[in-house]
Amino acid sequence: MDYGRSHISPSKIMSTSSQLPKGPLFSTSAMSVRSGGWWGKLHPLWKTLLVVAVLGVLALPFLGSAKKVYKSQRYESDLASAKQALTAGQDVKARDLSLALLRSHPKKTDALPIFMRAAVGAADSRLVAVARGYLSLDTGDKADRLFAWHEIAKQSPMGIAGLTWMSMHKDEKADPDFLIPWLERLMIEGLSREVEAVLAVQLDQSNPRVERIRLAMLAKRGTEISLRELQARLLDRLANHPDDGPMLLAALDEIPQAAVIPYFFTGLGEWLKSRSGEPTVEDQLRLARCEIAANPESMEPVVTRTLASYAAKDPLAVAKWCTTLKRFDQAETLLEPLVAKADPAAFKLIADVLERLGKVDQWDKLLETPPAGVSLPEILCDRAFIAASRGDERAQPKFEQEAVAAAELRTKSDSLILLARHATRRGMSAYAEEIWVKAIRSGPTSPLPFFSSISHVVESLARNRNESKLVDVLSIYRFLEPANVDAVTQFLYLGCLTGNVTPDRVLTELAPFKANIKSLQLDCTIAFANVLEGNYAIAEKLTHDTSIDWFIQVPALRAIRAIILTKTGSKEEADIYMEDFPWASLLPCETRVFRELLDESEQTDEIAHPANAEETEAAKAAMAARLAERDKVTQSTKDAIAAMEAKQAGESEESKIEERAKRADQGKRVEQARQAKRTKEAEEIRAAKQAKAKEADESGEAEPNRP
Amino acid sequence: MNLRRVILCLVPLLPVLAAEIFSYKWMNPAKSALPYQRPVFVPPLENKSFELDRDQYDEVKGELMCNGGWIGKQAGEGMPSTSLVWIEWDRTSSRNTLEAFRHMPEQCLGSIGMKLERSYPRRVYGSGEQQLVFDTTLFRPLRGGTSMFVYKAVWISGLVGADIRENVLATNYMDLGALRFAAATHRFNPEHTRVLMAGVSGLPSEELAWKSFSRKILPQIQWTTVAPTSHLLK
Repeated sequence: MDYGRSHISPSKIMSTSSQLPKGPLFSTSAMSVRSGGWWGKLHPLWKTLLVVAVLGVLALPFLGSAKKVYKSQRYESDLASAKQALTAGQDVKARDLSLALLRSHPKKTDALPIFMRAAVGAADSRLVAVARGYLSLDTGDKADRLFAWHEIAKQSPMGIAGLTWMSMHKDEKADPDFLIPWLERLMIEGLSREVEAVLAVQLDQSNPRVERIRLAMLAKRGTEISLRELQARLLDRLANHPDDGPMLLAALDEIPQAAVIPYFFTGLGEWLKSRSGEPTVEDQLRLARCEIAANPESMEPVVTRTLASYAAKDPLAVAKWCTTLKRFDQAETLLEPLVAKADPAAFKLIADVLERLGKVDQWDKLLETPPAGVSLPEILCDRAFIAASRGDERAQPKFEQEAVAAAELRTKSDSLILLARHATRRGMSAYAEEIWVKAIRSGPTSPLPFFSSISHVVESLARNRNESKLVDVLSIYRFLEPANVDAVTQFLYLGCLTGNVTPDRVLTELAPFKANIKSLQLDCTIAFANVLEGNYAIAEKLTHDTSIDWFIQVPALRAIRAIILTKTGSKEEADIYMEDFPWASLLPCETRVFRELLDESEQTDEIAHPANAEETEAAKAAMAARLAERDKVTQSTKDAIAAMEAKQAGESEESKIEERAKRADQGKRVEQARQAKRTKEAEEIRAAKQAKAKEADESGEAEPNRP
Repeated sequence: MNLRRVILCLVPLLPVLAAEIFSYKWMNPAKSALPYQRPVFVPPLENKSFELDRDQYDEVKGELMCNGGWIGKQAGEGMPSTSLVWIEWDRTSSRNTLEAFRHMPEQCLGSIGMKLERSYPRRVYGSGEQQLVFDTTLFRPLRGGTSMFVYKAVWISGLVGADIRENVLATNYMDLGALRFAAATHRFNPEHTRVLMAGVSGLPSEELAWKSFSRKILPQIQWTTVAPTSHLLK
């Protein structure tokens, strides 16, 4: 690289220098720099650094690419490890690896299916949220999307599952693979109408699993017509789609023996003949049922023949068959040897048989030693039921508590819900409500039902004046069903009363509902929040509808109206509303707040204090600040409401002012008339009471209590 | 002895003597001879809905270096729950009194997981000498839950209408150094200091909370007339 020195020697330069014109450009020093002498003078260290720097600059674009390749390879290798862990059944490891990948590569979604599958095994509560996120993505193959939806339908609260179902694409909603988990969940929740509504719009009836659900719904309806329709559909299906028979024939087991139509014997017989191979025991037993239905006189020979043929082969199936024929003694005889072998299915069936036979002592004794594989909370609930039927006041709460404790110990998120449903089936409603509250309070990760389905729990808590539990339940449902006006209104109303929610937040959160929904409860809640904010005129406007009969409404709404009347100066009318008011039916927080709001006996302002003869500067300043703040809040609320109204109506400012004035005038006149009427009515009532009392005194009888 | 010499010897001592006299006067200011009103808040033990928390008071007593006081809670069916703290200092150093001003509700409640959500204009109860100025705030647990309206008043003998959030002795409460300096220049050494702190829970608005507090709790405070030179301070 030493350009100058290799070709021109210093002596040659020196010799030629005398021939060149004199000047700085042609001096020897200038020549040496131009010919690359600076490089030669550089220290080897600087040379090395320069070379490295040049190479580094040149390698920068390649380094970026190399980094990408490295990261991609690392990602692929981590993904492969996660998949491998999942395949090997190491769910926790697979979950952690996939979660680390999702965190390090937020834009890549390949690890989501791995996480979902691993989360099922690892019982991770984040599964539903991740599955919802996955479904919201446009990409993803059907198997993974189906898995995600299946888990949501199975594990998430109904509010979330319903929202997810609504947000799914219409093609997916029409796909039986996606539809069936939703229908199954609706059936578990006991929402038969919703199932039938979904099935009614399903034009494609070829899918046997959808048809099976349709038949199950007909069986559940349980009317003569529905059971006939079920069998007609089943026979039609056997004739046209014989291969669907094995799946659909199970619907026959859900029909009581008396409802089996005689013709079914022929239809089933023909279908069995058309099938190749030996019929299964279940099918033979179904045929035997149909034979009895076709020829009731042949019952005994058929039973004897069936027991002789199949009792040894499949005693459990035959025992079930016996229960459908209401031959419980024979079923018990068949099941006893199986129970001794600790068969859980046989245990459940014999428990049912003993209950039906009324052998309570034997049933209780049986439940003392449940085999592995049966649900312990439900067994303990049954024992509590037996104790209650015997009137054993010590054993009943003991078993009830044990059942709840056993359910809470189980890792499955729906164990408390299953226990609550079991208790409801047993008619233990108070106990079931208690479990429901526990299930709801345990968090929103369990498959909770819709708010409307547990309204009885909310009502019961309100009836029992259990404020803290009520707040907990409503706050969870407010989160699960944010679009449910009942859940939101009730939560905000109660939250405001108990100090959990500020009145201004109530107004903000209810404004969107107010624009679309007409509800007295909603109006009263907004009016109540306005009273607390000092906006009495707005509250009056919201509740001044004269067509409302406040005496047939919930007492709390009547009290709110009375408070508004008190604050707007109509104390006399308010007194009429509060006459014989059922204070005992209100919640403690309602009583506390309503009493304070209705009590106008003493001024609380500082200036009006009785001993305030000498008003101090501090008191003056405090009062001025308070009034200024109140005006500010009132003005801002008024502005917000005016803006909302203007947006909704889209009317011109002038017409609005005119209409407002007109309405105000009308309202005033109506209110005046109403007040006069109420006062007159009150006077009449008082007069009637006095007359009645006088009459009672005269007749010497005690005055009866007012209902 | 030469008188002139004696005087010359005494001249250097004169500034010292003057300083001593000035210091004595400064440290022992002349007190008003007029009697004044002092609040007395006896815990309403006869009230069944009131519960005295002796353990908690014993716990904070040493730290506060107070002469007396109590901590309790009033709650019952149909009424809001009100937590009450009443602390008394008598003939104490100005330091404790100034600490009472310095400790805002957000500091002590913040340490137990409450968050200041809103501050309201102060509330004044009573008038003239019988006056308490309440700092008014709204607190809520950090993770949400039931709110608590907190009223805190500091009463100091000879300082009517003191407000803990606004200016005290023409200084800002946050600047303790300035507060101490002001206390020194004013020779601020009160005979009595009282702190009343109340937390009203379970009501939706400050208006209602004040209504409940001012009508159900505050009337229980009695005012007694005290002569400034009296030894019967307690």
